[in-house]
Order: sequence, then structure tokens, then C-alpha cells
Amino acid sequence: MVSQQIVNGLMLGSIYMLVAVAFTLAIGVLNFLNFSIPGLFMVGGMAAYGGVKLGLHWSLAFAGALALAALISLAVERLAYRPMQGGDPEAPLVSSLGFLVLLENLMLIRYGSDQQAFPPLLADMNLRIGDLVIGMAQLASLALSIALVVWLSWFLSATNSGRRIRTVAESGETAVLLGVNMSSLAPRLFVGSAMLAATAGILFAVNYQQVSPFMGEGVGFKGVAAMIVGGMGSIWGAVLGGLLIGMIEVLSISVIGANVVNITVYGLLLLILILRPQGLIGRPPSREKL
Amino acid sequence: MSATEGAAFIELENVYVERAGVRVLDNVSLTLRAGDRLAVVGANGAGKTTLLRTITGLQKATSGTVRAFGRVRRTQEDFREVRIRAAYLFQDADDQLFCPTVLEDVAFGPLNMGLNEQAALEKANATLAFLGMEHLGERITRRLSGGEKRLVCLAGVLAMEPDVLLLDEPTNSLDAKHVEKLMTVLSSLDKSMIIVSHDRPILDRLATRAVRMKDCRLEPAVLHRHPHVHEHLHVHVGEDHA
Ligand SMILES: Nc1ncnc2c1ncn2[C@@H]1O[C@H](COP(=O)(O)OP(=O)(O)O)[C@@H](O)[C@H]1O
Ligand SMILES: [Mg+2]
Repeated sequence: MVSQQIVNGLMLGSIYMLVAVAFTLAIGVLNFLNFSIPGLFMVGGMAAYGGVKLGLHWSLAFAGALALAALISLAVERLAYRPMQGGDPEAPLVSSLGFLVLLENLMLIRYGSDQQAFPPLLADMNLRIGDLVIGMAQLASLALSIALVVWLSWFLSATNSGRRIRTVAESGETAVLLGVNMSSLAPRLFVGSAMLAATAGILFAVNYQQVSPFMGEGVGFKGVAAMIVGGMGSIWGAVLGGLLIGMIEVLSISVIGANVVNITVYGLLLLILILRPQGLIGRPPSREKL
Repeated sequence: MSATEGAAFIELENVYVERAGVRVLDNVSLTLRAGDRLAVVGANGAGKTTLLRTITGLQKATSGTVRAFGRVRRTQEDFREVRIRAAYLFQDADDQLFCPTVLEDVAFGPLNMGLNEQAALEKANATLAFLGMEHLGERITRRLSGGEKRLVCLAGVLAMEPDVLLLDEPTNSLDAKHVEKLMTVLSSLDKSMIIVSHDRPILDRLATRAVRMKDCRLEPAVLHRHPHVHEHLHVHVGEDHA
């Protein structure tokens, strides 16, 4: 049923969207392809799972997972990003990739490499519209993801902190010359993108009821792809790219089959990039980068 | 080094800078004291912009010491204070202006210095009024003329109340009317300056001394070979007292 697939595609897409926006914040503002983001996504899911397994209420487990992701992201800023400033731009990329591998292996030691079943939340609550079945958890996740992105977009355009972030995105040098304090702004941005990635990980765990130490990798690739297809550096591009990839993935699984899903997804993305190398939203005019 | 020369705001000592493996500043030493208005002349590519970038820490010195406002500056954190007290007027106004309205653009620096919204807007209004531009406050920055933009940029840096202005070709691509306005404002300011310019008459009016950048090195006392500058300087001082 197509409308059911569309709902499922939107749900998956909203997870890619959050990851893509997390990448966009890092690369659009700090010019840093932060490969710890898939790791933070995984930490969101796995730490929430660990907390629930310890018997914590889900709200506490989620809060704990978000806090852990924020702390790890601050460590990434301190150890991978900050020391490499003014040096080779590829260096922090590699060291953030190191963080991803480290986080995966720490989780591997703690929980093993198997998929773990995440207990269902709001399991019996479904919304039925005709033949369409929408889980309450699914609906809440979708609403939350969209609300987060709308809020972020408002924050960037309407607040003084947002204006600072947009100035840095425009030109880091201009920003520091006008007194923007990068050593307080950069950690906040890292926490912000960690929150987005970890929230996506938690929503993934809740909706697909499975977690594993390597759950970040596939999602991370699709997040990066979504960002590129949407148009690098544009938040709404990342939103569009994420939703599109989720939709293509779900539809191609149901139409063509699960074996070829990556071929269809990445094939279509390639096609889009051949037709529109600047991405769907395009390279935004430099004044309205984010 | 007499007492009347005032405290040293900026001191470079044997500074070397390399960019992409090529030497751009070669053993540069320079002192800017309170009240100094130092002209920096030199051919394109001589390293003048790099000199200003090094003072503000945008460019790392390969070796040598950058001292500003009484302290040696090395880290980005060190340079944060330098950038506020030694404000850099952008060569391209569009690089500095990105807020919707002029008032917001001018208030941006004060906000970053920790003023609250109200105080920052007041500061911005006062600065615009000082420059006789209060009527531009609500205008859309992007739609101003090139000359107006340059003056808004100046307002933006003056709103941070710097001790030193770093001016990189401030009159470039300005029409005569705005050059005049900019010069009137700059010469009325009680601030130290480093002025990079090719525009001889401008330097004559503004500068108190000059250096030349040549092949990445600083040559001092170039103004001595240009008696014109001294003539104009005296006229300028006379105007100040009038
Ligand atoms: N981004 C850069 N990377 C490497 N070299 C540069 C860069 N920008 C300028 N240079 C070089 O540094 C030297 C000095 O440039 P600059 O300080 O801009 O000179 P000026 O302002 O006197 O025209 C020039 O030789 C220029 O080619
Ligand atoms: Mg220059």
C-alpha cells in the first residue's frame, strides 16, 4: 500500500534528516566533516538501550543517552577539532573517524556485536486512518524531528546566537574579527549536532526496536549523502535530502526488493547529482548559507 | 621613545611569516604607540595585508613575537582581545555586512563583546549619530551604495570602541564624496591607526609616519623622502586645532 510506504519512508527519512542536519551544522559552520556523528547516533540508541535495560524509566534513559552524547562530542571538539585548527583540514576528519571506531569498539566490548532488541514503547497505541496504520511512537518521532528542525531554523535566523553562527558559516575570519568568541561557540555547535544525531539514534531505536554498535554506519553514509544531495551547507537541503532518501529506500524495498536497495538509493542520488551538481536546494547564495 | 610617544599598543619583533611555504614577512619589526598613525605603503603582493592579518592573529607568525596591549599574543584566545581593541576595517565591505539592517550590523560587534541587546543597539545608534548616519539605521544594508557600506563598516568597528584601527586600503573603489567623508571622520578620531594605502594624498592627510613594505621586509622612515607629506601634516594639525 503506497500511502503506508510513504508514512514509513517519511519516518525513516526524518532520521536521515536529523543526521544530515547534524553533518550540515558541522561542515556548513565549522567546515569540518565530523565523522564522529554516526558514532553519536549509535551512542544515542545504544546508551538509551543500556539505560532501559538497567531498569531506568525511558525518559531518564533517553536523557542519559543525550547527555552522554553531548559529553563525547565535547571531547571530540577538544581532542579532534580544536588542536587541528590552522593545520591540514583533513586532520580533524581523520581523528573524528578515529572517534567513531573507538565508540563502536567500546560498545562492542560492553554489549557484543549482535543486534539487541529495544523494548517497544507505546506499543499498542496506533492511529488508524482507513487502511493506514501509524504507530504513536512513529507519529511522535516524526513530529519531534520536524519540530526540532523548524526550531533550529528559527534559532539560526532570529536569535543573536544564530546570527553569530551564520556569520561563522559565512566567514570564520569575519566572525572572529567582529568579536565572535569561537572557543565558546564551537563547543556549543558540537553539542548541538550531537543532540541531533543522538536524538536520531534514540528515535531509530524506538521505531525499529533494534540497536547495535554498528547502527551508525549505514545511517551515517545516508546522512552524508542526504546533505550532499540537498545542497551542502543548507539546512533545508539536508531536510529535503534526508526525507527523499528515506522515501526512495522504503519504496524501492517494497517495489524492487531489499537486495538492491543501496543500488537504487545511491544510483538515484548519483543521477540527481549529475543533473544538479550543486544539490537540490543548490549552493545557497552566500548571504543565506544556513 | 620619549614619554610623549605614549604606550606601545602593538609591537612586532623579528616576525617571519610563511604562506604555502613561501616567505611573506621577513624579519619584520614594528611598534605602534598611542597616537601613532602609521602609513604602510608598498607594491601589490609586498605583504601589507599579511602584516595586518598577523597583528590580528588571522595569520600565524612562523617565528618572532607579536605583542599587543602589553602582552605577548600566541593563541586564538590571546588574539580575541586584540581583535576587539585593534579593529580591522574590511577591504571589501560586503565581507563585514550580513545583517538585514544597518543598525543590526553596527550592533553586532558590541553584542559579541557581551553587551545586552538594548545596550548594543544604543551603542550602535550613538555610533551612527556620531558619523552623521543615524538616518541609515533602518535601511537594508545590502541596498546601500558602496561608499555608504564602507562607512557602515567603519561604524561597526567604531562601535566596539577600539584603541587602534587597522585600515586596509580604506578608500579603494570609493567615490570622491565618500573618500572625503571617510577622511574627515578618520582624521577627527583620537585613535592610533595603521593605514595601508596607495593613495598618497590620503596618507599625507592622515599619517604621522610611514613605513614601506618591500620584498616582504619593512623599510622605515620613507616619509622623510616625501617632504609633501610634512607640509600637509602641518595643515592637518592646524585644522585640528581650529
Ligand atoms: N592565501 C594565500 N596563500 C598563500 N599565499 C598568499 C595568500 N594570500 C596572499 N599570498 C601571498 O602573500 C604575499 C603577500 O600578500 P599580501 O599580504 O596580500 O600583499 P599586499 O597586501 O601587500 O598586496 C603575496 O606574494 C601573495 O601572493
Ligand atoms: Mg592587500
